[in-house]
This record gives sequence, C-alpha cells and structure tokens, in this order.
Amino acid sequence: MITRYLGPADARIRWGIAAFFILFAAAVPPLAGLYGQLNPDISSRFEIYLATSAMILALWAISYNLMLGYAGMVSFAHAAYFGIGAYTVGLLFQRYHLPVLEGLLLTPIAGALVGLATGLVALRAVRLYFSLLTLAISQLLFTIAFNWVAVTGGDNGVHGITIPDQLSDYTPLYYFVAGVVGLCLIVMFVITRSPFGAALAAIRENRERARSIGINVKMYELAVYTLASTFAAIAGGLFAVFQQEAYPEMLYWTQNAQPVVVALLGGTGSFLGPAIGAFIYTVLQNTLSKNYANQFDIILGAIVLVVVLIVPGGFASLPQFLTNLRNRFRREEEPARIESTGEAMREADLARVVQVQAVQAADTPVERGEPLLVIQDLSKSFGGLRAVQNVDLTVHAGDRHAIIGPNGAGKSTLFNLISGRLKPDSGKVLFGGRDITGKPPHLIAKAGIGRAFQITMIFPKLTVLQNLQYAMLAHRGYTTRPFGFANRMFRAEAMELIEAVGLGRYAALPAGQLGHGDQRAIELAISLALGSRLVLLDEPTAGMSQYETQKAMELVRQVAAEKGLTLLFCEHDMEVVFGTARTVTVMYLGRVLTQGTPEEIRRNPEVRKIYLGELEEIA
Amino acid sequence: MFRLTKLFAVATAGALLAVACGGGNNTTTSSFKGTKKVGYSGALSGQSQLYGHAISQGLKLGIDDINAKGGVNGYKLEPDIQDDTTDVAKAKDNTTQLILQDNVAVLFGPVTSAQCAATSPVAKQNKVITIAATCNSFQLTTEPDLLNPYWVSIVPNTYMEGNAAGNLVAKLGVKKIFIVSPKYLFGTSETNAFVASLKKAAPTASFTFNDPATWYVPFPTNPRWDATLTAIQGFGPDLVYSNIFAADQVNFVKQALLVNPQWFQKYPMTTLSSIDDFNALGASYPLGMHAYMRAPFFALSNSKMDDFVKRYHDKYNEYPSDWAVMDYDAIQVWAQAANKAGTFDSDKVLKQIVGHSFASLRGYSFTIRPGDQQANVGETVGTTADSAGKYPFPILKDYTNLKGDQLIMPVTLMTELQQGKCEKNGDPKTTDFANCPSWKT
Amino acid sequence: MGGLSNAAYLFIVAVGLSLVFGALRVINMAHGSLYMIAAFVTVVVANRLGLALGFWVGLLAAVIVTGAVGVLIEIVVLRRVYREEHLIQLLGTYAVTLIVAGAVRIIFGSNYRTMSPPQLFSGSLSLAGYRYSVYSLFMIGAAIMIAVGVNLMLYRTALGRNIRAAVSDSELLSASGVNVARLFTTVFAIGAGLAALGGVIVAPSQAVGTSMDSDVLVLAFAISVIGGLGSIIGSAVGAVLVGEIYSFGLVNPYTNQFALAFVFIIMTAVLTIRPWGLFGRAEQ
Repeated sequence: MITRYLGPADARIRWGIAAFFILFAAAVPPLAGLYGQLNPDISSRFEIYLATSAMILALWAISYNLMLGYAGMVSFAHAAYFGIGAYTVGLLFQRYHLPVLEGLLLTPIAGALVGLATGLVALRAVRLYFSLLTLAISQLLFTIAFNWVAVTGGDNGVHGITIPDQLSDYTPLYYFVAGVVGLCLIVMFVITRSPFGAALAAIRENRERARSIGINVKMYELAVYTLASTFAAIAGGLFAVFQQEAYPEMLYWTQNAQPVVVALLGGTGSFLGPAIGAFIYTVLQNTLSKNYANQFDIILGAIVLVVVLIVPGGFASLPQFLTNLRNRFRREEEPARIESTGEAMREADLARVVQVQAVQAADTPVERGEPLLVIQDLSKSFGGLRAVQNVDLTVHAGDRHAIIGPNGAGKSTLFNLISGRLKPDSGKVLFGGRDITGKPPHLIAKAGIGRAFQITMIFPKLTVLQNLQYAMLAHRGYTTRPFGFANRMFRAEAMELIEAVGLGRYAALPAGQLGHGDQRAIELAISLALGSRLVLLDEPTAGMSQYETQKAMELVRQVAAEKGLTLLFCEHDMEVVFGTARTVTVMYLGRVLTQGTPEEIRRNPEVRKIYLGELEEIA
Repeated sequence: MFRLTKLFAVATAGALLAVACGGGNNTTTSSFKGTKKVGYSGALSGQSQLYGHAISQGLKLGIDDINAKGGVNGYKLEPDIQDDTTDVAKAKDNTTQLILQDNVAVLFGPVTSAQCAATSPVAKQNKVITIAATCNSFQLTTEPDLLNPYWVSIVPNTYMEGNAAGNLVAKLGVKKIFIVSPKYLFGTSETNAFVASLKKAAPTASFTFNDPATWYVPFPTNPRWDATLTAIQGFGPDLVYSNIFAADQVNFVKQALLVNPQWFQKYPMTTLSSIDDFNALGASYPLGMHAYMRAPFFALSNSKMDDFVKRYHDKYNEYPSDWAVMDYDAIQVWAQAANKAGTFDSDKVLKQIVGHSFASLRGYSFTIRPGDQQANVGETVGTTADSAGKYPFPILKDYTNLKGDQLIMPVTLMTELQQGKCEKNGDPKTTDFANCPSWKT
Repeated sequence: MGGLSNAAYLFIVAVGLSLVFGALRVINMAHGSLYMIAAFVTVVVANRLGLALGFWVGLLAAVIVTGAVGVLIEIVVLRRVYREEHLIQLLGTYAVTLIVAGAVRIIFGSNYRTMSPPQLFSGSLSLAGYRYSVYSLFMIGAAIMIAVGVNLMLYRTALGRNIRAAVSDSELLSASGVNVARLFTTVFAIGAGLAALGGVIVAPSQAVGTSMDSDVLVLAFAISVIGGLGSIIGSAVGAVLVGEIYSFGLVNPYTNQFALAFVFIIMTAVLTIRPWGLFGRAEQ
C-alpha cells in the first residue's frame, strides 16, 4: 500500500525485474527439465505443475490487488468470483459440452456480470462495512454453490472436465496458462497506469479530496470491483482447465486468505509484487507443508505477522527496507535528502502563477458582476443543533467574497452544503442558474466549484506532481480512460504550476512528507488547478506564517483577477479578510448577520459587538 | 523496533534454513535395493482428523510389517503422509505433489468422498493406483465422469452399507423412521441406498419418514443439534437412522444424552459407527445402539487380527479403528500384488489386483471384481453393549458379520450405472441406481 | 427453544467481538481462536479434576489463560496496528489465528476431547411434551447473566464509562488524561474473557476439536454485524435471530438447504440498509 516515488534509476530496476520475470516464466519448463535430468529421482513435471499453479495464483492475487493496492478496498468475496470462473467452465462443459477453451472465453463475462451485480450491493457500504458486506455475499454465493445440487452438483462439484489433447501434458498447459496470465497482466498493467488508475489512487489516498476534484467515488469503486472480479473469474477458469474440476470450497470465505497473503508477501504497492508473492508462497507452502506439516500454520502465521508488523510493503519494499536499515547503522553516510521546510510560499513567483495555462476559469454563461452562486433559505441541523438557519447569500461573478464569524457561526457547514459534502434540510443552492442543491460533491466540482479545505486534504502518498496532475485529469474528465499513462499527462502544466507556487524542488516527493505550510500550498494549488469558476477557500492560510499568508493571499487575489475566478472564502485572520475581500458576509449562530463592503462591516456596531475589540485593532 | 528487526532476521534465516534442509533425506538401508514411497493424503486435522490419524497409524504398521519381510520387489517402503486438513483443494494439491514430486508407487484414498472425487483424476492421469479404504461412495467407481481404471475399493461402499443397514432395519419391524444424514456426497449416497434397500427388503411394509427435505444437515455443520433433537421428539419415530460421523456423531450423541439419559432407549437408533466414534465418547457411548460398522476388530477376531490389535496397541497405546484395519489391508493388497508382478508398473500390478483374492485381517479373503474394482468385503451389524471393562468403550453384542457377496451391487446394476443408463432425462445430476432399468424390475 | 440455546453460546462469543470492535475499532479474526483455547483448557482441567469441581476450576483456568493470551495479542500485535488500515489489522489477527491453530494442535493433539457437564446441570426437564436438557437452560441463563453483567459493567462502573467514551472518541479520551493504551488492553482482555466463557460453556455439550475456531467465527461476525458492532443488545438480538433461523431452517422442509443462506441474506440486507446494524450507532 506504499506508493513510493520511483526515480529514473528505480524505474530501470523495476523494468529489469519485470524482464527477468518474463524470461524466468518462459524458461520454467526447460529449467525444470534440466533439473529433472540432473536428479533422475525427481520428476520435472512437478516443478512445472507448481509453476502453473503459481501463475494462476499470481493472476488471482494481482486482480485482488487492483482493489486492494490501487483502490484500498478489502474484499472477502474475491474467492467467490474465482470459483464462479471455474464453475462457468465446468458447468458449460458438463451441461452443454462446450469445449473448455470456449468456456474460458466466457469467464470474463460471467465474472463481470456477477461482480457488477454483487458490487452494486457491496458498495452501498464503505471501508470495514464494505468488507463485512462482501463476507456476507461471499458466504451466500458459497451456500448456493454447495447446496443447490440441481444446478451446481452440490458438494461433489464438477468433475471430468476434458481439455484438448494438445494441452494434456504439463508443459504445453503451462505455456498456455502463462500466455493467458501474461495477457491479463498486460491489460491490468495498462489500466493501473491509466488516468482511470490515477483516479483509483486518488480515491485510496483521500476519498473526500477525490470527490472534490470531480471523481465519482462509488462509480470508480464499482468499476474496479467489477474489473477485479472479471480477472478473478479468468483465473478461476484457468484453474478449472488446469485442475479439470470445480468445487464449492473454492468459494468459501477463508479462501480469500490466499490472494491477500500473497499480495501482502509480494507487496501491495507494486504491480508485480503479488506475482513475486505468489511464487514465494507456492515454494514456501510446498516445502514447508511437506517437511514441517505440523508446524506449517505456525510458520506461515509468523511470516505474515512479521511482514505485517515490520515490512508492510512486502517483498517489493525489501530494497527500501534494507536501505533504511543500513542507514540506521551508518548514520553519517545518510544520503543528502531534500527537506521540506514548509516555506515554499516564500519562493512563489506570482507573475508566473498568473501566466500558468492550467489555471483557467471554466466557461459559464454568467457575466462578470452577475450573480454566480445564489443561496436561498438554506438550513441544516445536526440533531438539535441548527448549524445553518435560513441563510440567503449571493456571490457575484468575479467577486472576492469573504464569510466571517466567530467559531460555530456555521461557515464550514455552509461550505460543506455548497460543495455537496452535506445535504441541506431545506433551501436551495443555484450555481450559474442551475440548481445544484444536494447534488453529490463530484458533480458540483465538475460544475465548476473548486475547493480548498480547512484541514489539509491532499493525496499524501502521491507525489506533489501527481497531486496536481491527477486533479487536472479528474477535473477535465480524463479519468474514465483505462489506457494511456496518467503520469505523462498534464505533466508540463502541473510542473509549471508547481514551480510557480515555489514547490518545484519537491515535485517528486510524496506530498505527505512535506511541511505543513507546503501542504497548504499544494491544497491551494489543487483548488486553483481545477479550472473552477468559483473557488471555495476554507481558511486557506491556516498554519502559515504571516509572511506566507500575505504572499498566498496576494497570489489568490492576482490569480482571481487575471483569470476571472470568483472567490468565496472564510477566514479568521481579519487582516487577510479586509485586505482581500470586496464583499464580506458576517455569520453568527448559523444565520447571516449582515453583509456589505469591508468598510461597512468594519463600522457595523453589531459586528463590533460580536468581535468585541478585535476589529478596533485593525481599524 | 531494533529488537524486532533482529527477530525478523532470525525468523527469515530460520525459514531459509528450513527450506534448504527440506530436500533430501534418502536413508537407504543396505539390505534393500532402495526405497519406494507410498503416499497418503489424509485428514490429520479438521473435521475428519479422527479418521486420518488412525489410517496413518494402520498404514505405518502395515509398512513396518512389509519391510520386515523384505519389502516389495527388494525395495524398502517409506510412508509419505501429508495432512489435507479435510479440505478438498489441499487433498488435490497433496496428491499431485505425492505423484509428481515424490514419485509414490501407490496412493491410499483420502477420507471424504469429495476429496476422493477430486484426487482420482490426477491419479488416473498419471497412472498411479489408488486403494480406497475410507471414502466409499459407490459413485466413485460407477459414475461415468469419475471412472478411473486405477481406482480399487476395499471398503464396503455406500451401496453395500446402505444395503446392510436396510436389511438390518427391515427385520426390526419398525414403521416410523427419522433420518439424519450429512449433506455430502457420502450422506446422500448412503441414505438413498438405505431407503431403497429397506423398501426392497420389506416390500409389503409401509414406512413413514420425516420429510425427505429435512434428511440432510447442511454444511457447514452447526455443532448444536437441539433443533434436530426437538424435531425427533415431535416426530416420535420408532427408529432414527443416521450416518452422521466423526465430530457430528459425537455432538449428536452427547446432546441427545443431555436431553434424556434414556434417549437411545426411547428413540432407538441405527447408525454408522466406528471404533473412533466409540473412542471419542468412551464409556458414555450409548448402549443398545444398532450400529453398522466396517471393520470392528473385536467382532472379527482371528489370530491375525488379534496379533495386529496387540501390536497396534503396544505401539500407539490405542485400539485400532476400522480405518486402521482397512488401510492395513490396503497396503497388504498392493504389496502382495506388486511382489507377484515383480514390478512397480501400475498396469502390471493392477493385473495382479483385479480379479484376485486377498487374505484380510478381517478373517476372510476378499476378491476384487472387475468392473467397479470393488472388493466383496463385509459389514458388521450389531447392538452396542458394555465391554465389561475389557475396552475403554462399548462393544457389539448379537452381532452379525454380513458377507460381502450378499451386499455387493449386482453386476447388471453396476454396468448400467457405468454406462450412464440411470439418469433421468439424460441429466447427469439425477444419476441414482433407483433410476436404473434393472433396479425397477 | 433449540434455537435459544444455540443463540446463547453464539451471543457470548459475538458480544466479545462486538465490544472489542466498538472500543478498539478492530475486527478481531483471532476471536474464534480464543474461544477454542478456552474450550481445550476447560476439558483438560475438568477431565483431570473430575466431575464435582472440574467444570468450575476449568472455567476459572480457561478465563485466566485466555485472558492472558488476549493481553499478549493486544500488546504484541494490535497495539502496533491501531492506526493502520483495517487490512493490516485483519491480517495481523489472521496471523494470530494461524499460530494459535498450530499451537493448539501441537499442545492438545488432534483428537477430539469431550467432558461431562457439572452434575448440577446434567439433568433434563419436560416442557409442553418435549424434553430439554437442563444444560441448554443453563447456557441460556448464563448468556442472560453475561448480557446483564456486561451492561452493568458498561453503564455502572468507571471502566465502563471510559469504554463508552472510547467508543465515541478515543482521542478526546486520551486528552482527558485516561491511559488509553491500558484501557484498550483491558477491553481486549474482557473481549478475550467473553470468548473464553463461550468456549467454556460449549465444552461439556460438544466435541472439542481443532476446527472450532473457524466454525464459530463467521456466525459471530454475522451476529455482531446484524445487531450492530459495539452494541450489546444488538448482539443479543442478532444471536437470537441467527440461532432461531438456523434451528428453524434445519428442520423445516422448505428451508433446510438454505438455512444458512438466510443468515447471510439478512446480514446483507442489514449492511445495505443500515450498515451500522440494527442497534448500532451510525458513524460519521
């Protein structure tokens, strides 16, 4: 689950490993043959058999990892789709005498259909509850397979599947399986690197942020769930061809431990990790369960525990792990590291930001000065607490509109109601004349409302560059594409913006490693990069130094002026408010108290009362 | 953290060492030409662990005896036993490993019928003989999908056992019967055979059963039988027929006795049983139970058996269960045939098995007939009674050792099954010997 | 009635699972393993000491041993993964199930073990023409007592107050000066103790064997999820529901084959409509 940024050298190593894998996979039968020649007692066929079963396991585990590693979803139903693939081949053969290879071609369809249908149910819940829901679905499917004798053959399963003569020996069967697995891996690899894959990474890293950059989280999760079950079904179909049978235990929920443990051993953060895991697991299981049958589960448990507690990145993170270990012993030789000071704003080049192409307000048929956002009689309560009461508010296109008010005034709730994070109890929100009341966040983001959050909302394990790239991809509607390399798209545009806001040096670092101020800068950059007509900034400068704050607000002001953005922001720092806003709305206890120019607000006696002496200082 | 890292290093090193040492331990004794492995993938853990455990011990003792007499074709036999945790996939993996990696000369069938059905094709593909002494669904040797010329059964199959139970119950003069059976291939196979043979043995009697839809207890079995016990009381049967086994039987009996210490007097029960089931409950195994058993040593006493029981008890401090007896027989069958054939070649060894007779620990010789390659082994039926301190579990009194020839499936029926003539509307899922033309007449 | 005694032991196991989840936000896959350890300890002790004292000393020994194992698991494994994603938590506790399964098999052997119930509960009684074992009634009674006990603990003691506070917000609790690490260990030990009571209570009425852990786990999950993770009443209702469905399903001709399917259909329905369960509280 650790997405480490890989520089050019790392990439070379990675491709090297992949190439080695392909060569190794191709060479298994001849190697096994050679081994057999040298040891007449040992049959080379078993090594080939093991390699075939590892191949199928690898496909199964990598398909699981599409959900797990790329979208952060833990499913207990993946074995069920594997089983369904096997049953598809088996039952079509037994019932309709359909040749197994034709049956195999139908497995992705069966997997996709069942995956889609059950996914629609499973994805009504999130995270842990999603996992538990998949457990229920999986046991349901198992119970059906086990008990519906008339259709599935019950506990007996399906036997006597005949495969073509050409495949009846272990070597050709191995190459056939390796070929199908290879093909599936290529397809999955392309998908994971595509803008679609980028959207999944964004969801895994931060669901809320993903929504606010215009990603329909549920749809993408459903898509990847279906995709994963499709490939699991192909793996299951291969299993039926390989073992020539299918049985209900394949669907039992505990079977999911296999792909999960395999993915964990290999490393969920890397594409080929689970494949490595599959080979390690197969060899380990074969050797240990043979010679240490009685201790096997203890040893496996200990290995899983050690990996979980110490190397959660799995085998794929071992080089990194060893490097870290070495550095601990040789502290003085620690390589020079780029430390983020959290003061990127100091280096921001305002003139350049303004020039950046990517920052461009979307077209809305609203002229400057016309109402862009109209809020009518909006209310929201939490239990007995009325957070927002009958609020009316109009934001004009091109304006810089601040909302102020003491803590608990309802500012953040109001923002959440506008951006779709919360649904109002009553009232309306119109944007550019369109009713967006209660619409989901991703649609509101798409409609042209960008957002920076009060607490930092970035994609912590993605690089700074990816944070910006993915935001641009999502907002511009590219993330439905399952092909193309996401990391190569909008690279120049994102880089331009990153350099302009002073983050250039950190482009390749995981965003989560940056200092607080720098993360705020990323947050700000994301909300600007969305090309929104209206940008909501919830305390944009919280945690920044005074100098940075000034600079950030100056940046915001200039960008807004040059690019025709409309700003709606709330802020505690009165200096920022009065220095930036052209219109100020004051909220108090969930209601709008008053609205006016900064000058009018400053003189308003009611506002003065609320803020006690605070405004005097500014005045 | 640092300490943990060290721990990890040690653990990894340990694991690697374990892998490295895994390879060869070829202990060839000088008096033999070499060693030959015989393979068994059995349930050493999981639901049927009780049986797998006994089978391994029976096999090991059999192997020791054979080696003491000079082995097979001058080779020393070495047991190669793998735990399959009563799991189908694991049994299949183990069997493949035994065949392809360990080059075993012969295999012994796993415990459950589903495991046997799953492992049979691998053995068939690689031409390795399997001698089945535990799993016994007749489908394994008659269903066209499963036919395997290298499969030999020396356990009374479900047809024979159902037949034995049916004939036993027909004589009891009962009318109302409650059936409890596990929802596996074995359970349905044996229950169907029981009901069919009961009706055939008492054609004039009219029986009342509980609803057939409630005969089977679905998987995964719940350890609580309260609902079934209440249902039995509600039904008020003259007899309960069951073929639940292992943990299920232990739980059923325990809970029934808690409901009523006189339960089995009130609701007499005809059930499949074994020394292992006796052993698990010991003295609390109910008396007066109509049990049918595959090879209870005390009912089949003869000099060979007595000697075997003594040596088995000396070695393992346990009495040999039916499974231990039958698997001891199984290894003897193969060893004798292989010695006679003078080779380990499966086809040639098979020629010395099929159609030949073998002396059994059970005190008689059995013959493995062609066709389904099933041995005409017998079944013991009787009533459980106190062993008067002789054993830590009950024995059978008034028992009969039914002859295999009385029980075995008629050749015509077997042939019809194998030729797929017993399916309703050509649907392979409806195969049942009750659908066979010769059964109907 | 049959369903109720079924529900009783399932409740005792599920309530521990639920409690641990509520306070620690961890799904403990090793809960079934703790239940199994307790059953084995009870049988071994009881068979050694004989009928009169065996069960009660066994109960004590089982709770102590299992509680200690629970504390060990919490300190060695869980403490390191509270802040991790739940996959890591699931896998960490899954690894524990593997280790315990192997250890139990090596220590206690793979044969079934059985024991008799204490004489006090070994009789039977008639009710509306049916006989029931006193032991089943004892199981039901014990479950009710445990439900009441857990409730009292939660709502009448300082520890309970802290646990409930942890259920709503453990960070806030930590800020208020409570030693959260120790509280979590205590809660986990209580959860382990409840799993142990479940194991103790089934030991006299069924074969104690090495596959007990996984047999009970999936039903315990179903129950605690249906009732609502973290809710005691929820677990009780869930257990009765599952117990009755299972028992009714088993002996009814129309439902026999799919008795268990109904349990999972209900579980699916509950999670779909009210993911936080019938009696649980919605999460933000």
